[in-house]
Amino acid sequence: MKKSGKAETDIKLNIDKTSGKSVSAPSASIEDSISPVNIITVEDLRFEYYDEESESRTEVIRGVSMGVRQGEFLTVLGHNGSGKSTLAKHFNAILTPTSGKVIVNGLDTSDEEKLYEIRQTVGMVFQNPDNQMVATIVEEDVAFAPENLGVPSEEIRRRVDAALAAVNMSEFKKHAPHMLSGGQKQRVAIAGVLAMDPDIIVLDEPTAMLDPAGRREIITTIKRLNREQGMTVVLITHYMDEAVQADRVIVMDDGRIAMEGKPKEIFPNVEKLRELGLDAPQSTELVYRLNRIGADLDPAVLNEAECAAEILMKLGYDTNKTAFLKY
Amino acid sequence: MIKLENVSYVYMVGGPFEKKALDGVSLEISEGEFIGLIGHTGSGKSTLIQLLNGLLKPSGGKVYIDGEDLTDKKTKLRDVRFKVGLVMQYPEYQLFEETVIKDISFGPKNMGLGEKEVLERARFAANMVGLKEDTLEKSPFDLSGGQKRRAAIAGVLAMEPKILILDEPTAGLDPAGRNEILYKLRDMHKRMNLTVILVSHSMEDVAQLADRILVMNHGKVEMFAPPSEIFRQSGRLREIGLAVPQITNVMDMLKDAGLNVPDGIYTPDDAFEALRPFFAGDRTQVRD
Repeated sequence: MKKSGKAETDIKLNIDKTSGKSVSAPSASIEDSISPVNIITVEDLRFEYYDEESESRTEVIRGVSMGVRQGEFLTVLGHNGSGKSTLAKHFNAILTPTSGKVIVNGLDTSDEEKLYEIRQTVGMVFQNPDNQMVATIVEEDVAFAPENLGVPSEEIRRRVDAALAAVNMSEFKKHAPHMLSGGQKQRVAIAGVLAMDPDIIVLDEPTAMLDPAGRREIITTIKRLNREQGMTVVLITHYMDEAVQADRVIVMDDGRIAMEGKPKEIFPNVEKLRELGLDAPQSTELVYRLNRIGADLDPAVLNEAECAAEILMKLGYDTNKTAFLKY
Repeated sequence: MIKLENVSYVYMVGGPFEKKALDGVSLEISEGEFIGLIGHTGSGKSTLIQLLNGLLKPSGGKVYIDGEDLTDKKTKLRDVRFKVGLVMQYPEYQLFEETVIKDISFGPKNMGLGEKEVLERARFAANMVGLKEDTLEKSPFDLSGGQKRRAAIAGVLAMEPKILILDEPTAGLDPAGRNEILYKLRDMHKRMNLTVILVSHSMEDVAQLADRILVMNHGKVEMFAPPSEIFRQSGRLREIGLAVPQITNVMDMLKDAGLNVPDGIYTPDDAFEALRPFFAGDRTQVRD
């Protein structure tokens, strides 16, 4: 499952591809390490809330079938109320289906006896870092879950150290959580989940309350977990610049899957995204508009460097790709 | 309207964690201006806005609002706070009344206004932020995230402040909710002749709306100029760790590679206009 340190070279790889010709799959090595096997399978999932006051039912998931593949980095996009968070809460049995099935690593989430096993398989990280801290010292906070699971203390020590190292927070292990920045707190929350030794980590808008620096920290961290440790990652977000970095994107709308595919297949659909209450990245939008006046650029550009390289190539400039890395 | 003279602010003076949050800040903001305030966490921007409505007193220097010196003991801070409306981060956490209209009425009621005027103001404010009539009798807790946020903003607006300061009003909202708030903000700025200070991490948001952008760095004013001038210094912005709009990055890369495009472009619209001649030229000829 080990993958080479890929995150840093992402931009460069993609530009090299642009100069080659049209941009397609992110990189062969990533494709290879994603198993074709689903670790989570969702079959015709429906979910209703019952509102006691009005005595009415509201269907928020309206027939979703999908899978999460072992080792992939999947993002689920959608505007508020599209059902994306409700879907995510089914992955570790916080919610269970009104009808249909959710199978996690062979375990049916509707089977109450399997609840602990499911929660150990799928770890969740939520939006507000302050709501996820339980202890007064970072390492104790990270140890909370394995302690509750009855893990032997030596093993807890090992797991806590490994988890803090994985999120780059080892030097803060004796600190008080409330003195940390938002991004640091959220990384501790991720470490707390890692210490349960899960197969999948689901993050429900983990960056929504963070500043740009904190957001970068979190995205770098989850990409590294995915690339280096082969962790299966499901990221719920409404930030496009985060979604473009995933292997695969699912767009939810009105309780259904509206779009599904690789980022390069999804984001060129600028108008469709807008209809779904989302924005395309600014780079993609610029290329889209230039193409409408006949520029004939590859519409599948996802970031600044790809966009600039594509424009320059079309205009016959020699593109010195490495010069862009400073941005 | 707002004038700061050599203002400094020090947290925990004399303690082991003494921290200079503001250091010699002087600036002026005119009536009706829309100011974007940008800076990374710890740059002093939150301290600055708290000084403006008297929540904090400067350690040194003077703060004037509408000609009144806030450091003067004779100045009634209560009146200043009605004049300077501050919408805090995640203001929807502060909703507490039974109905939306009662919540929005809380501020003007506290000002001692008559019942009729309170209601008039609350309805006007609700209308300004785009809350429909049928939401006003609902519990604020039954609203969507974006609606709650707008209800909280209306609560401040109902006090009819001359200056409206908003700290990260779009944080945590989805693109549709974010655009809605920004659109309403632009609208109320124009229609109510408000002086607005919008604190944000999002360069894209601020660039769209602000007449001038104030960039804070390490407690000092780093830049204070119209957006196009600010983004002309995109290199410096990156240096101090601020996120430059994606489109500015693209244009900078094109310029670096030798393409003759103007500096300081920060919206997809302007980028499109700047690049159109390169692509439209020969192709439109072919079409003609």
